[in-house]
Amino acid sequence: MREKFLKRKKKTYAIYGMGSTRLSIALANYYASYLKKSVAIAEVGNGNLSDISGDNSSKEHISMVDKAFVGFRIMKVDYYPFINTDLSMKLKGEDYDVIIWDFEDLSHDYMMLYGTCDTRIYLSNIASYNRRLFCQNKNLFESDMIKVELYCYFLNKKDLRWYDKTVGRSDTFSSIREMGLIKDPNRLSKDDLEFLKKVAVE
Amino acid sequence: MKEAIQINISEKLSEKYEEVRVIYESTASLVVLVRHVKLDHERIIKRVAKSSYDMVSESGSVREALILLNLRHPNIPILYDLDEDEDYYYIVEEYIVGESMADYLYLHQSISHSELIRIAIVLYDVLDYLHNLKTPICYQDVKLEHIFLSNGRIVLIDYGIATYLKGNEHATYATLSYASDMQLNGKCDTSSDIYNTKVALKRIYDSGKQKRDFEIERLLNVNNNLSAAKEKSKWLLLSDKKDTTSKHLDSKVAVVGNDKGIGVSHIAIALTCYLNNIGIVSYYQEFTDDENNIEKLMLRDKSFNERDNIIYHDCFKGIRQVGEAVEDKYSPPKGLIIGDVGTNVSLAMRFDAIVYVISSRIYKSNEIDDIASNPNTVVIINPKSIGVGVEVAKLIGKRVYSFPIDEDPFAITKTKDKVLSQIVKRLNLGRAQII
Repeated sequence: MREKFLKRKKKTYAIYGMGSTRLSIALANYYASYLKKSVAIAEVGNGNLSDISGDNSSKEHISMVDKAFVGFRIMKVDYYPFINTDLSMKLKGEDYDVIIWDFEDLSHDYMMLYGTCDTRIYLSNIASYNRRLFCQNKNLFESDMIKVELYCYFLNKKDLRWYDKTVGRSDTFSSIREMGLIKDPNRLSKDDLEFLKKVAVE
Repeated sequence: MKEAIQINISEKLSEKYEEVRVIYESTASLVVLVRHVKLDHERIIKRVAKSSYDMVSESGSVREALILLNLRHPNIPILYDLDEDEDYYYIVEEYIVGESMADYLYLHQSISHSELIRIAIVLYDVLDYLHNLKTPICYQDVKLEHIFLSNGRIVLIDYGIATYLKGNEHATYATLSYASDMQLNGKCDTSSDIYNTKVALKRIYDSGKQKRDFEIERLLNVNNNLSAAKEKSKWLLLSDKKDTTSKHLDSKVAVVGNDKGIGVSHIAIALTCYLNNIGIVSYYQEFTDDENNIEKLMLRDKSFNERDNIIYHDCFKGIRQVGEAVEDKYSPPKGLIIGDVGTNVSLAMRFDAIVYVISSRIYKSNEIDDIASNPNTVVIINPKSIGVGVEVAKLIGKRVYSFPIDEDPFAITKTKDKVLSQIVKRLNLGRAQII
């Protein structure tokens, strides 16, 4: 009974920030190849997801996905580039175990969609040269009721101290973690799997 | 006239278990052999008096129970349950029949080098498991008295002084004649277990009157202690090198059915558990795309552990199948593969042996003649249907086995064992790697 419930319950991820597409693909492959779930990645805004079909180093068979909108499948992950808000409602109704929304754009139109996902991830870098941009983007999330998980590249003690001092006490981010370096999101190593297990919602 | 029956176990446990006899009795504790009413399986219940609480022995039983409760390994006794009432603690454990290594050597004087290698591999396998838990456990008491031989199975018993390694907060105990310098100084970590194991293995080696083996002596050098996994791999290499007569079996057995939903996966899992229980290292592996039994099993029960793409639970070992996007750097484990191939008969025909499961709907078995004619095929009917079973047996000119009604594929029961042992004999698996 519990298995059936867990199977029916769809998990949704919203990922925005530096390297969102790489993390989206890695997480999708983790679910599809490791946990054997049905997974879709939808690109929100104008991005490069459609280029993946042309740059398929594994040379696996790419099939078109038979749904009401254009997509393609590689290694059991369904990719949907160019999803707008109308199509996003249709996609939500499809029978996937996991849907990963790769946000290229967090404008007002897409903010609602971002807010409805179970897990919201923001990827950034809080090194001193990037702090201004980080603070600008942080303002995007401040009105949200549900928290965002922050993943930062090359996180060190100095950056963490700055974060604790300036941002730490605010309610914007539920957690701050170091972003793992995934060499190839289509060929996950043992370390990648360990990192993705922590990212994935249980 | 019948004697008055004394009830030695708690009310809650007496609903599940029927007392058979008292095995051991002392002032503070009692060990009773019981039978699980539903599963028809023997276990022991240790009853420990709360009033005789003492730092060394009685608290050790309960402490041991709390450690064993979370452990699942084919060479560690299973702890099934822990109960208490006002006066006693009740610990329900696996019933292991056999003798300790100490008793064995006393009676037989020596042991062969191949047996010694086998024991070493098992001990390091257990230690590797304990040392790699989320909170590692240091066993602290490897000695001949705690290495138990039970129908070919080697079990490491008595976890009374095992301890979780949590920073510096753990108690250090040891048996003096086995203790490392570190233990004598009041400290312990995983290397103490390696030291104790080498001392124990050296005593087994020295008991023999066989010629000296320098390769074994090198592995018994206590001054060169590696991790349990590395020590085990060295012994495995030695085993492969020396073993000309009983090579490990890299064979595959397919379990295939004539229809969906007739228990192919259930039987494959049960067979895997049975084989591991009798000492033949076996791994369950799915060869169907639409099922994902291992994932479902892990969701339902947290006592499944995973390491290097192998899932462990009691006597069950399963290989996690990964898709193309995951680097599969793990070399396939050595042992028998029990392949769950669903209804894919053509795939099953490529295996070394086949267990063909049929339902009582005989019209589903058009190809039964082809499969049954394979000399290394065994036919099982599930669920049991004597009429259909006899008809099929006449048709194929071979015996057809009935699989008993079974709730839990992971549980080892007498009725299942009886059928599976006959099937394994018919499959003619040859010599397989015994653990």
